[in-house]
Amino acid sequence: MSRGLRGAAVALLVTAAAAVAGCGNSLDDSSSSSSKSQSSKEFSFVVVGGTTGPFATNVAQVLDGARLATDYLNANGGIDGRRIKMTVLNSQGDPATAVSVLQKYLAGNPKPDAVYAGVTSTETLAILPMLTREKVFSFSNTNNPQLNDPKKWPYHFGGVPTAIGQLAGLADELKKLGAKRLGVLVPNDAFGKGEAETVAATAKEAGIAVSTRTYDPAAVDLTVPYDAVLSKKPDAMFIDGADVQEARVLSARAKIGAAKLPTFGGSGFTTKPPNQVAKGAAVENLKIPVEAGLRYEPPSDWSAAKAELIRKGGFDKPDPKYPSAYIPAIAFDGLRLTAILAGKAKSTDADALKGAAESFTATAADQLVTQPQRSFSAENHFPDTPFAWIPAATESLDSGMFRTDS
Amino acid sequence: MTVVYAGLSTGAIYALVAIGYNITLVTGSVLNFAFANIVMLGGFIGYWTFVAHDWPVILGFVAAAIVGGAVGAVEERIAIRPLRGLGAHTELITTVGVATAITGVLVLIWGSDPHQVDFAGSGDVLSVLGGRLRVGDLALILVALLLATAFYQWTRRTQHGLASLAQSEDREAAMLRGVNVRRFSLLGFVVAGAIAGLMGPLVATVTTASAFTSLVLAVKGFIALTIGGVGSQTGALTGGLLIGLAEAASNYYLGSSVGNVAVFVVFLVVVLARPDGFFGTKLARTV
Repeated sequence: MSRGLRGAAVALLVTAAAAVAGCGNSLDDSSSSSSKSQSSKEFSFVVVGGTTGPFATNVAQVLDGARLATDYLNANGGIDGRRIKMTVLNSQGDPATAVSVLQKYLAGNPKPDAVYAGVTSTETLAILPMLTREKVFSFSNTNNPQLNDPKKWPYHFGGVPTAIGQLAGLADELKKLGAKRLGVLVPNDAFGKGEAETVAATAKEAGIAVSTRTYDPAAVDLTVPYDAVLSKKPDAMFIDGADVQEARVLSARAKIGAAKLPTFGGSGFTTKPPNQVAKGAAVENLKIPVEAGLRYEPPSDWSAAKAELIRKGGFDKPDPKYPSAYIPAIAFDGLRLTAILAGKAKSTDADALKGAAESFTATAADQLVTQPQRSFSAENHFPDTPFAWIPAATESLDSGMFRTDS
Repeated sequence: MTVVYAGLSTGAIYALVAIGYNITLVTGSVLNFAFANIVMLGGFIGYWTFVAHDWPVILGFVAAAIVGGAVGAVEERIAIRPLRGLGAHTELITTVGVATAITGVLVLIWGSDPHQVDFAGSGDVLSVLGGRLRVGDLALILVALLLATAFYQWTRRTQHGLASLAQSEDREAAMLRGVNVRRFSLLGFVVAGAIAGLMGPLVATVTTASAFTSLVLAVKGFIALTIGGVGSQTGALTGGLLIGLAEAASNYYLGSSVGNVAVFVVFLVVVLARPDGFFGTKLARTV
């Protein structure tokens, strides 16, 4: 065969191969668009979180709350007439894995209608770029102030106030004590850094000097960083840590003999009450912030949605699965709020949900358990009712809600 | 002084892990990476027995030692013995697998939440020379000293100890001299497992019983082993206490982001200056 003919044959073969691949792709497209139209009968809700790993307990609570909301809504027509189908992606509590599993899911499935974007601020920050690019509506329990950036993350809405909102009452508490210097001890991760920045800004506004020290989240003993903060002679302390960090920072507090110093715990202390994690000197003179919507009220005052959460979640039983209804309530409210917004927008498109959210102000009829008076705007995508401060030593839980027996 | 005591108590934990590594290295020529996980298992047994179910404390410790020893025996039979002689450090890799399996079992049984472990005044605070430490911290330091001394004496002054040293230096030669190397290997894993289980509740008074803490202890224990010299109990103790103090001092004066860096800097400096560690033995080789 001459060179010219050979070249033409190769070109023909390549063109034919491309044509076949194109047909294959379009076949795939048509099959995927038919699967898209099938799945559009369902409202796809994806939860990204570490079902295994160090935050597995928190994620289990999120899933329980989400399942309760799914059952509740599906029994009442679903969202925008579509039955909710929940999918869980296990991030193992690691932000890089969260990105990877979400990427894999998006590559092989229709775009979800809503996503619970991780249970740690580092996870949420890791996956929001992808969710924003894909225009997916999302919410979460994470509270780093960087997440409340509507220009950067237009489709993400907070289920809890940012650290700024949660700690808004801290300055008043410090002023009551006459504190001049506040010591801050938080983990050296996105969550802790967000808390530290917020507390520093809050204290600065009140004219209180701040000495901040961070600790390695994996450190087995926190005596040294605690001692380092105390060496600056603060009049009060702010400490925070989630899960095992909570136990270790309280243990260090008792060991150092810091119980006499008025101390305020951060939002990491709200998932498991400190007096269930440590006893005695570790929890003396310690106050923790509590979601106002979860201050105890008797069953006669419960809304239908609250009753559904507490009774179906088993929080009113003598030995509940989890002591506090806080985390399940965030997920429960998040999905229910999505349904409310879809009803207002008459659509589940992310831009429509965003538009509805930015003009949303909750009323009693919405029956939100947490942040019952929340509102959003184009400039603020997180609720902002401050938390109440209650003494940790006398705090107890009743039907999943916080009460103070003082 | 509080910083010094904190450094010594966490250093004692790293030293205990390094001593545990040495036990299986000397008796079976295997670095048992699952040792720290068995320590955590012991911590959970301690929590379940005398914290959650009010067992007498001594029984809780005995139960932890028995369970730890049993796990060690199973590990040796299933994960180590079948791979003898295959080379390429296959036994080390399977001990990593065993470590992962133990963590998985701990999470399945007790969940991912940490559990506080305190007993018989272990949480009581002492003021010594201007610093504060818990009774549990002091116990850890003393136990690490005791264990290192006891195992050192065993390898130097008893027939079985000398036989173990011989098999760790040259397994085939030891076999030819009549040393039952398989029995030593099994015994080493059982003893190491029992010691890990026994230490577990004491370690957990500092770390809490937490399934995910084992990795940190395993890595820092390995660094302590390498700095001190593989096979040397004096080295394991020295290495552990040294990195505990380095970590505490750098955390206090330079901040938390430097603590881990300081440990690895010490590791690099020692390995570059003395590749066999402080107390490691140089082996002669005929060329």
